[in-house]
Amino acid sequence: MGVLDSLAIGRRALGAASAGVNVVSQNVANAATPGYSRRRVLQQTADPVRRRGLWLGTGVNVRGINRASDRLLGVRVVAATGADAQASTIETTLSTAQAYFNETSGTGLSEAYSSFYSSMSELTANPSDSGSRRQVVENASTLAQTVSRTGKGLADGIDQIDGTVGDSIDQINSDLSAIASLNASIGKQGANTGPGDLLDRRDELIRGLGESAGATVELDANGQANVFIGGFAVVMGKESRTLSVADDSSGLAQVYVSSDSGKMRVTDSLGGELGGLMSSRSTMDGWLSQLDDFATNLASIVNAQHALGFDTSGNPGGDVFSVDPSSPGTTLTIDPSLQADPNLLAVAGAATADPGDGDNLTALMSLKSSATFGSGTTGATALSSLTTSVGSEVAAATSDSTSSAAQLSDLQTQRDAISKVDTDEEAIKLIEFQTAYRAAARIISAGDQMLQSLLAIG
Amino acid sequence: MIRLPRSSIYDLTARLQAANSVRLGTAEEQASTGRRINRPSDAPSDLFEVHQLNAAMAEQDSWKSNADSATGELNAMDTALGQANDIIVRAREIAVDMASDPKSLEDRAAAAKEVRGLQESMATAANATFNDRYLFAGTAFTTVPFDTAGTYSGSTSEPSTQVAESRWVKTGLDGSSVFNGAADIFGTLEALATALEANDASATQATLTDLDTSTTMLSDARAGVGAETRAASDALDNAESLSTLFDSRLSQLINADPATAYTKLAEVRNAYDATLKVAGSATTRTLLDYLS
Repeated sequence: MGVLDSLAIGRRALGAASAGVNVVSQNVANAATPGYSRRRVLQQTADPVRRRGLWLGTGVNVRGINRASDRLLGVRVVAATGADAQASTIETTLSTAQAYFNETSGTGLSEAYSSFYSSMSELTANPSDSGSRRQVVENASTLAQTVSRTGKGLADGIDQIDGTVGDSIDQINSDLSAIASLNASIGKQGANTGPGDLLDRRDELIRGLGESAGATVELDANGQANVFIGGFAVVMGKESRTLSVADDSSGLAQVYVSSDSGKMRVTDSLGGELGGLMSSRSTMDGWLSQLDDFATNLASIVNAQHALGFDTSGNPGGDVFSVDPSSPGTTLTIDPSLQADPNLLAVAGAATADPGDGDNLTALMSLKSSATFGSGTTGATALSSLTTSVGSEVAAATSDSTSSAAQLSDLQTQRDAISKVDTDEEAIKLIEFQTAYRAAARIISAGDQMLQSLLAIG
Repeated sequence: MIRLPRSSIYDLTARLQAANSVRLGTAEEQASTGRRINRPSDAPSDLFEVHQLNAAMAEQDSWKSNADSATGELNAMDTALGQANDIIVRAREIAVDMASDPKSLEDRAAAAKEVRGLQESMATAANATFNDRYLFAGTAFTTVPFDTAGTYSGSTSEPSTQVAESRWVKTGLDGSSVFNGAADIFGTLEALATALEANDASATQATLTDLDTSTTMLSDARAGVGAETRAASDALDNAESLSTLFDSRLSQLINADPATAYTKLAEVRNAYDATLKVAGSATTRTLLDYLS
């Protein structure tokens, strides 16, 4: 063992400490970078040498730089991110739609419906009274406006969702292509020895896809990330597919995955924000459909009974409500001539009726308890069922969102425990590597002095 | 021991703060609005009952209004029928008095004049109005029901208004059944006046039977009006008491208990403040502060 060996050990020690400081610097610099996994320098003792029967150490080697991550946990975080984004999107979207149902402020559907019939009840006191007739007409108008306003709100919400889908698809396709490229780069450099930065970037893209579309990921033995959306492989190693959006025959946006044989619809199996939007759209479409049925039934039965009565001029009743059959829930309106002239309200039972004849009014009032709103329900029950359904869906969405957020938070905490940079910890490591560097420098300095002493002998 | 990086503490604190912020918003909304249910999702299971109660209260309000209005008409009818009855009572007194001899021609002529006046008063009573509606014209309440000869031009249908689920009260009567029923009141008065003008004691005597029948008819009509008035009054009381009951139940369902709401608000505020304090202290010290 000579002085030169000591100098070599010192050199290696300086290199190892320098690598340590470099890794600490990188960690501190990326402490707040999303998706960054902290690095650790891996040191090991250098191979010993045998001289004169003795095994002598040769210092330290830097074996590599380790990226602190847990593959299984990473996969679970991606899945939980998708579930949370989906639940959160559903909660937000449905809560917004719920605002159209002002059921406890006195301006909701149920209130408008009961007011319509209450005003008819008050008209029984004097069927020819113009003020009471006006009240019935105004309440019919309010009911029609409330139904169509609610319907339009839901229809607009559905349109807005369809508009948002197209914007998301472009970003998703860009990310899919980037993941495939990163797979190719990582494959060339080796899954375990390649730079962690590429892995970090790929993980962050996959997490983003989980959030936006509910993507799931499988890592193969070569470290290649295979990504699935809606159950279909969209990234397989270096190859990626694209998503596209197109309207179906009902005008609703549908999402497709390209394949060798064409394209496959994945709308109903999406997760993440996109899945949340699709699920919310389906729920809102169901609400709108119930409102359509209500508007159709209301217009149908009220108009039919009204036609059997006679107005103050002895003419048979015209329509009270009108709807566009293609979208009844958004187009329910009161007949304009009736709105202008309440005398057209056909409450009399005979053409030559007396002013106090309210025979058809009684028949109109009986429609309130008529079970003609589908499945043997009354109009009030149909509306109550709709708004209760709205409340239940939003409450369930809120509960799901809270639950998924807690689950994601728990997994993120676990992931952070492994991968996140702790600046205090890095500060300690910095001190450690600084100290090691100073000590290694002293070894070189001592070796130098020893060589100088030898040279001085000469 | 699980590793807990500093930045992870920040993230955790942010998530807790966000969750507490939502809870604080809900508690503040309940305390400030005084309502437990501000949207359907606040209590979906109670929504059906809320709708039923709201509808029932609107219904009770309309029935109260109808009963109020009907009570006015029924009282007016009772007054008119009372006046008609008084007229018949007076006519009968005259008939009884003038049917017995000796009575002079002048006496009977004077009595006849009074009966002619009673005929006019009877027409006024039979054509009584309330809120511009003829009370004894049936559903034709804009038509003058009786002319001076007592010919009926009204309707035989009677108007009614709903005051309870299955209870309607009359707001007008078929004048023909009231004044032209078992006896023709106008005809009887005409016969009496004619008999008196003719100084015919026996003809005067003959009107007594129809006058008695008229009294019975008016009494029956009045009793009927009384029954309807009671029905309207009962319906009004019932509607008011049910409205109070429904309102109380609705309040229980919708409104937040103030004590609970404020206690909850204080509790959530404390939790929120605590979260902010933790967030504040988590950012104050790091190891770097202690290194030179």
